[in-house]
Amino acid sequence: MAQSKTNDRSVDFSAALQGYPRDPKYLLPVLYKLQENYGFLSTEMLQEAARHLGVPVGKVYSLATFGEEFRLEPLGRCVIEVCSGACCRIKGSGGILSVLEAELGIKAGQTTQNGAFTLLEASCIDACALAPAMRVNGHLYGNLQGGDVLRIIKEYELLQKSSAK
Amino acid sequence: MVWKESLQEAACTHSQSDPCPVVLDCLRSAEPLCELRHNGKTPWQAAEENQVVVRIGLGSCGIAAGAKKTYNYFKSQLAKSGELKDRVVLKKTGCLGLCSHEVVVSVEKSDRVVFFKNVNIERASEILELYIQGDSLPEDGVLGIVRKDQEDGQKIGSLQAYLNSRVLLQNAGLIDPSSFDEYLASGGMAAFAGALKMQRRGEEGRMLSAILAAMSKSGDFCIEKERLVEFKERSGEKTVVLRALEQDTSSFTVRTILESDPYSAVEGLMVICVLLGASRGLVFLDPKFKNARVLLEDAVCQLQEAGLLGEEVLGSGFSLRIEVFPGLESAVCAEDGAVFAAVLGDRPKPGSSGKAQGGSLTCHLEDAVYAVRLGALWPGWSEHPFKGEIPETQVVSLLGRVENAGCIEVPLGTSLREIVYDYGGGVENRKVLKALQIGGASGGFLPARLIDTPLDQGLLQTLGIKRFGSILVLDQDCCIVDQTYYSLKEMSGHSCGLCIPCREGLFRLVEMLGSIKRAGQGPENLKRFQILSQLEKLAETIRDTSRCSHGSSAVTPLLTGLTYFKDEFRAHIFEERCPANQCKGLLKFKIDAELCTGCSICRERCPEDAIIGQSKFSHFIIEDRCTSCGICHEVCPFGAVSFS
Ligand code: SF4
Ligand code: SF4
Ligand code: SF4
Ligand code: FES
Ligand code: FES
Repeated sequence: MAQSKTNDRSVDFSAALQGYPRDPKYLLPVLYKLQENYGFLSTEMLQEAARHLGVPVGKVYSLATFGEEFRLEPLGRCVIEVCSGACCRIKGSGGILSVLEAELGIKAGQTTQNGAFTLLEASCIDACALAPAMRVNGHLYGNLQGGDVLRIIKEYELLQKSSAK
Repeated sequence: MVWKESLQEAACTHSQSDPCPVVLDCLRSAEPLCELRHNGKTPWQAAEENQVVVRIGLGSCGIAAGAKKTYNYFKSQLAKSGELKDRVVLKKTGCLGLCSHEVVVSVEKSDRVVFFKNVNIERASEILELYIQGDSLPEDGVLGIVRKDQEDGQKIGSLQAYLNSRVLLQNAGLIDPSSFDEYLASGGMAAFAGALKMQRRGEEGRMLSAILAAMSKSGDFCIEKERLVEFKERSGEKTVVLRALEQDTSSFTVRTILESDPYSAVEGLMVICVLLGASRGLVFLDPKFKNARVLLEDAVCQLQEAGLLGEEVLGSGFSLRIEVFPGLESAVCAEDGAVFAAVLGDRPKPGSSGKAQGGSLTCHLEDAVYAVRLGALWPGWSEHPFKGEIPETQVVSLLGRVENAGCIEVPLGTSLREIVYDYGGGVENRKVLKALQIGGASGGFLPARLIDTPLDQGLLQTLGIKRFGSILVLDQDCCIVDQTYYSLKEMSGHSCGLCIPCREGLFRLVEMLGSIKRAGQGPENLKRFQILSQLEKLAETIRDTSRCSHGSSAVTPLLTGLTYFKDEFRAHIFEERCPANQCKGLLKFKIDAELCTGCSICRERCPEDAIIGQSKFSHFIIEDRCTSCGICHEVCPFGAVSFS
């Protein structure tokens, strides 16, 4: 999972767009590329994409807000993706999610106030044999129970605290 | 592998004892082209004597199960020992499709290939010591043995028979998905050769028969014949869009094919492009398939370097470009309208159906791979396009409460019973089968008593779906209402919002089902009783009035659920009881005073402050305050919270 590396206006997004021809057809690949590099799509990025491809900004917005592919807000420092695929669900991922929601005080799809955690629901994360599973910052955790989740979250909290020092 | 033998019979300037070594040379040579049909080798025929080849499956689910660790372990062990390093070759493969057995490692030694399952580091060291260095098989962990000299595996064991029966997945888990050479050695690019030859000779009629044969897998055209012909005859720039998207929300068939055999996918698209005279092929990829995307982009690069893509393919005066296009997830692409919009950079508007739009046409991944398998027969083709010589099969993802989940390929017409019990090893933990949900979140339920139904066109019609994707196995502990609720929720979440039945109707259905999943309070109860009749009426309306198939298929689980499992709905509504004990909102939670250690973990997390107790003393749930959210049950480290 790419981390939100920046919120900074001065960053030059055009580097990421090199190699894409000036053709509206490449709007979707360009948006993915930006999100891959920066973790989310900022207003500046959308404007840059519009400029690079020569399409109206409105068109870029209309695609960027379609479905659930794109995030228009930065991610938290720690991204938790709870699998809600069919396998995980019938093996209890719903319980895992509700524990996390209660623990972090946010709903799926939101980021905590302090920017520490983002909680996401993911479709199958390819670990069905280990259901229920979740990914935290790209690390896979399988065969979960509510208690495990609390422990894992604590670990990441401590990690963040120690690296902040 | 009867049909593979038929590859060799046609006449050619080469002979069986002196076949054209590489199909690429054949393609590059001037006319007249060789007519020997190219015979694919199973990869292990390529290994040298005395060599040991260790292959490790590194597909997504292999990696999730720890395949990288196993791979690195082998790598470091081999590096340590000079003797091993000279004798043992380590290779990566894609995924065999047998998820529950991951990490799968196969060891090719002397006359056989042994497949090992669930290879963690411990097992890996056992394999290394006992089997590779010594010559005895470890006691457990052997998935199956394939004898190299024996093509017909019936006597040897089922794995060999199964591997030989696969058509679309023929290479999956056996060859290195990133190696063009291995793909060629296994018979790859023969279909492209066949197609290109027809194109060079200007055999329009044969090309048309070939494409019609390839696109009518299972006797049913995935695209109307007229449209295909019309598209072929169209002039100007044409694009074929390969839908590299799953058939339904729970399926992982496409991912498995792409990760295990990306070259077949690309070749399939190339073949279709050549036959239809399109100069641009687009692999419209689900953005989730990150590993597959890397493999596909690599494959396209290698094909470009080999001169099989680009301007003037092999001097044929025909140019062909293939692009890998990260598209939209399959859940929003029920209709091709969304695909066409996305490739133009527009916001998708479903509802506009139609397979072909202007100079674009879509095809399914499975059809493309089928074209490759069928096309392997083309170089020596004279009369008919060989349809019927390839066994008809269906690739399905089997998942849920089943012993051996995975992506399997079965002959068309196999009964669901065989799929669940023979291929799948039966229901997990020997529980009783309750139902199958076929087709992901928009798929219908089939009760256990209908398990002898064969997997064929008839079943597709019964379930009202277009193609098979996933089969979800549900046992006695699964709740149909719960399953319906989540299915609808998923479909509702992916509604594009263009038409009211789907946007509002599905939302209402989710609300209603949600409300019968929890206990009612006072006046709510009257409404609750009306829900049963409302559910069905609303679902039928949505089915009949939605603008595209997303909305109309979304209610399938509910309608089939009501048909076969009405009693369960009744129990939820009238008795406020979940027979499978799954709907938490209908359960009563209780703390067992004997088991509770008073750690207070649950008390601190109960969102309703419904738990009281002093630390180190047994805790207690105040029933009136408890909303049955189930969190206390989840978090209690001592299993002290029970429900009934
Ligand atoms: S049925 Fe659903 S997905 Fe289809 S057009 Fe209507 S709102 Fe959109
Ligand atoms: S979490 Fe379990 S052991 Fe701890 S107080 Fe609650 S019920 Fe008792
Ligand atoms: S089920 Fe939820 S509301 Fe009820 S006691 Fe447990 S945590 Fe509290
Ligand atoms: S359903 Fe959760 S990993 Fe596949
Ligand atoms: S040139 Fe002889 S087999 Fe192709």
